[in-house]
Amino acid sequence: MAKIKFVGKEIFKFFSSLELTLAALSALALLVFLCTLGEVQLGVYDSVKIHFNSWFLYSRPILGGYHIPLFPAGKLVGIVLILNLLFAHFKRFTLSYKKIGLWLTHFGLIILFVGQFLSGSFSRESQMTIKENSSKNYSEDPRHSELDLIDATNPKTDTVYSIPQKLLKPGQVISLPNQITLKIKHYALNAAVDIRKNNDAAFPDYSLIQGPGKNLEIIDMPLSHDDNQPNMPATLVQVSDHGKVLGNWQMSEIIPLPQGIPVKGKNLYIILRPKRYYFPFSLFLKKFTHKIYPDTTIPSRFSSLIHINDPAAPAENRNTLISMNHPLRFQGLTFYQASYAQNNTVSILQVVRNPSWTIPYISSFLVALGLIFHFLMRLKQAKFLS
Amino acid sequence: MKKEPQPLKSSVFFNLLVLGSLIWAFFPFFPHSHSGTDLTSFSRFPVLQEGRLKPLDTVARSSLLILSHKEKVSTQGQELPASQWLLDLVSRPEIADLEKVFCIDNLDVLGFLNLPQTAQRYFSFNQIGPSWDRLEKKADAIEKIPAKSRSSFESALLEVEEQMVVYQRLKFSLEIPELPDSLPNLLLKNPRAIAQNKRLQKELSDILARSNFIDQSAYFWAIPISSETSYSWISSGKAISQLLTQGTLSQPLLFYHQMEDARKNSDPSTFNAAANSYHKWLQKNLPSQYRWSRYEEFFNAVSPFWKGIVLYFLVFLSLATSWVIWPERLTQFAMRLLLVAWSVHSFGILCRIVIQGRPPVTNLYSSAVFIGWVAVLLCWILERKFPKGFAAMTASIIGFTTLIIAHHLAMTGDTMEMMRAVLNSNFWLSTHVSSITIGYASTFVAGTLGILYILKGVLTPSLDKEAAKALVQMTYGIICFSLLFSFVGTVLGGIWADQSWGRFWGWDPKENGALLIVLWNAIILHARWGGFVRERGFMVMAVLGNIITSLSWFGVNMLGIGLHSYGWMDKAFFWLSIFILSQLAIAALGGLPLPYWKSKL
Repeated sequence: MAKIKFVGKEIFKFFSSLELTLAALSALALLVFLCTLGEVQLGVYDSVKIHFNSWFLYSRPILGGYHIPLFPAGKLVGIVLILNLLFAHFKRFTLSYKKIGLWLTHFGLIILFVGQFLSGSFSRESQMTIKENSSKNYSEDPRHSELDLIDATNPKTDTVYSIPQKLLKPGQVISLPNQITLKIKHYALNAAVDIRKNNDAAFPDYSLIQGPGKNLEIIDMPLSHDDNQPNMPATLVQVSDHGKVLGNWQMSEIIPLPQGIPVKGKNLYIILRPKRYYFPFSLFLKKFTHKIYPDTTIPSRFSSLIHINDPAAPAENRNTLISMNHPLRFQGLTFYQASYAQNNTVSILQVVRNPSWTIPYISSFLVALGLIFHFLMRLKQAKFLS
Repeated sequence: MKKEPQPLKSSVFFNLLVLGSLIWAFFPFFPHSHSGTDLTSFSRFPVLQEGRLKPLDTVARSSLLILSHKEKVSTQGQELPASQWLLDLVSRPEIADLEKVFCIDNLDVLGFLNLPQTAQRYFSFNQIGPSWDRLEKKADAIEKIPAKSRSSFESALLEVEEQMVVYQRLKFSLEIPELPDSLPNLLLKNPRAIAQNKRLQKELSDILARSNFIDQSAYFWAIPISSETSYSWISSGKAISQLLTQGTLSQPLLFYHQMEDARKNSDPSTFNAAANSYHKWLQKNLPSQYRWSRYEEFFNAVSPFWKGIVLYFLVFLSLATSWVIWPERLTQFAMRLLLVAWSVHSFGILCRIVIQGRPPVTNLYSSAVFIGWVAVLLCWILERKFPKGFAAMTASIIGFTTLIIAHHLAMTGDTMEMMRAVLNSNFWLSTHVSSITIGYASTFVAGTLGILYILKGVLTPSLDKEAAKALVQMTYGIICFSLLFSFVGTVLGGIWADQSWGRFWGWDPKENGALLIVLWNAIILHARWGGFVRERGFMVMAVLGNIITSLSWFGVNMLGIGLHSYGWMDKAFFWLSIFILSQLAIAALGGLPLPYWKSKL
């Protein structure tokens, strides 16, 4: 019993020590530095994934492909800092008037860290590309794809069966409720498309390819880390109806056209495309404006004039202007003016769902208040002393 | 403390010196021509360039900075004001083409252009001209190479090509093709006569083609034309083609035409009369734009930042001398001079705010100017509290260095460029950007105090316990201040990011840099509170803070990625590396055990 108490005391001492604070802060500073350097080669998304959205920084594969953890990464350092802050509160901080500033600062920091963890797990970013004078009721995630089987037999509504990217692995068999079975033959996260040059018998899967994909060749490519050259996934899928093989279909996101599947009495299509998030409302783009300063190419303002169309609440329908620094917040989603395309006729909106978006506001207010309070008090003390 | 006897005379002398420098600091040196041409009026005429209305003088100065990295032209032992050079370039190009205004210091480029590889660094248009075709072809090839993979020869060559383009565009900007006397009259009264006359038709189409070319290549638009409610600006080429196709003559075109003709014929009185007519026309038709333009010309003529450089340097010299002789007198003089330097520095920042209608920091250039300003202000307050000359010394060093850096950053052209859409928000520029910049300024103050502590302590026996304590206290206070401002600034940046693209924290390199400063300040303070470092270690850490801040301020821009990058600067990279090495050396010096220090602490 005494031993447990002793160990507990040691753990408490370790987690509340100022040495740990310094070590964790230094590790964090180093991670920020490495992450920034990494962004040059890997792009922001992947560098952050390696340095912050993981527990350790790993070595290159050695000894039969094992990765050895070399240094704590963002998740571990973050948790250690939170524990350290919590323990230190219990150990050192007495509740007194003098310490109010420190309390506020560190309490605010705990909330800030927790908030970042929450937004890391719950926030979702996607993009909505709307052409002028048309409307959309979904956004797309360019970093993930999905395989969709569209049943357009009913003339009024389509039924879409979506298979998420994580199931798109070679050998995976997916049976859909309408007796269609999909077998994934090949999936590449990034691939180029070329006209097929030889009908090589060594690839029997090719000879079974149906539809327009039959003349194409998918060439696997290394992953792109350049944000301006997104990865273009491609796949080869075997489709069966009631257990009878209909053939193989080859698809790439470079060619975003649904391909028909011949099944008697049904109107079926298959397509590989960016993952979609559907909304219960739609946005209609009335006008996209791209203003520049005279005699320059410097943009002074981008804006999209949008009409919100919500069938569930027609009273909510209205016009709204989304521009840089002025997003639209609607039904838990926020729409930002992100980009444009096709000669200013297409507006690209960034769509963000982040339920914890208010946390950084509250927490940083607390931290700043605490710092100001503490330093003013120290200044007063110093004056008093001199 | 025993006061040294000081004769009254020297006091009067020093006070007169301060007064003299004050007058000099604020005196506008308007461009002046020896030939009697009214250059001052010409300098003030407003033109539209890069989306901003500015006086011709600003166009002349910023173009010269691009071409020759200075604001004047040295020719045959005398100096030409920028606007006189511009006037010659547009009216007497055959003379201007002989002026050595292109600064080329890459020897390989000189070789490529068949120019002598001697100590001579300035060349004229006529010297480069023969190689223009080859230069253009080579530059086209280089442009296809990504900026980061270019060799220094390739970047330098591209720079010369860009300088040549700016030069030639400037030359065309006020070109007004000669019209046969009969043509405008015929156009207005008897257009059919032209349609029937083949020779006139040919002339007309030649002139239209030339006007079109001038319109395409103009570097600035000089001609205001009235539209329904206000005036808009067009190039001289467009004004000509409007005259020929629609019969609308804009008066300013005529004035410029008269001025250029007079300049060509070396006839100052006709030039001055035309300039005066345009001056009156502007006062009558565009009073407010013209007022702004003249105001900016006044700011140019005062050149507050250049004077700041000189004055901060004098402050530094006086303080350094005061450590040897006349400590009190010279310190007092230096403090007054510092006040003069800071007021002209403030005047410059205020002018920029008013002219641009923006908060003080809008780009890298203005951040350098503002860092110096904040640092000097902070040091002034510190010096009042701890009057030992350390803070004043720090002020002169940072003030001088930041203004020099700003001067070098100005070589990319006009420093009051228009703000891109995402930055087009005065609220966030004034809150987020200003607080971050205040954070930079204060870490530099802390770091410089650390440098003084180490250099004075290690190299001289003059650092006593009392002085050391004062330095540490100042540094401590400034680091707390810096932590507060860099944290608030970083958070405001997060809020701006959340408002504009939905991410409180996007791991953009510039954000990361700001976060590093916050973390480093927090590390220093916790290390001190925990007793892990004492005075010496604390000051060494403060010096290392200089490295972090310089990386955050400059280093991340050199990564050439992210939403905040302003462009690739390889010359700056060299200086940044030198700076970082020097700071490491000083920190290492501070790491020497105390027995090796000359001062006994």
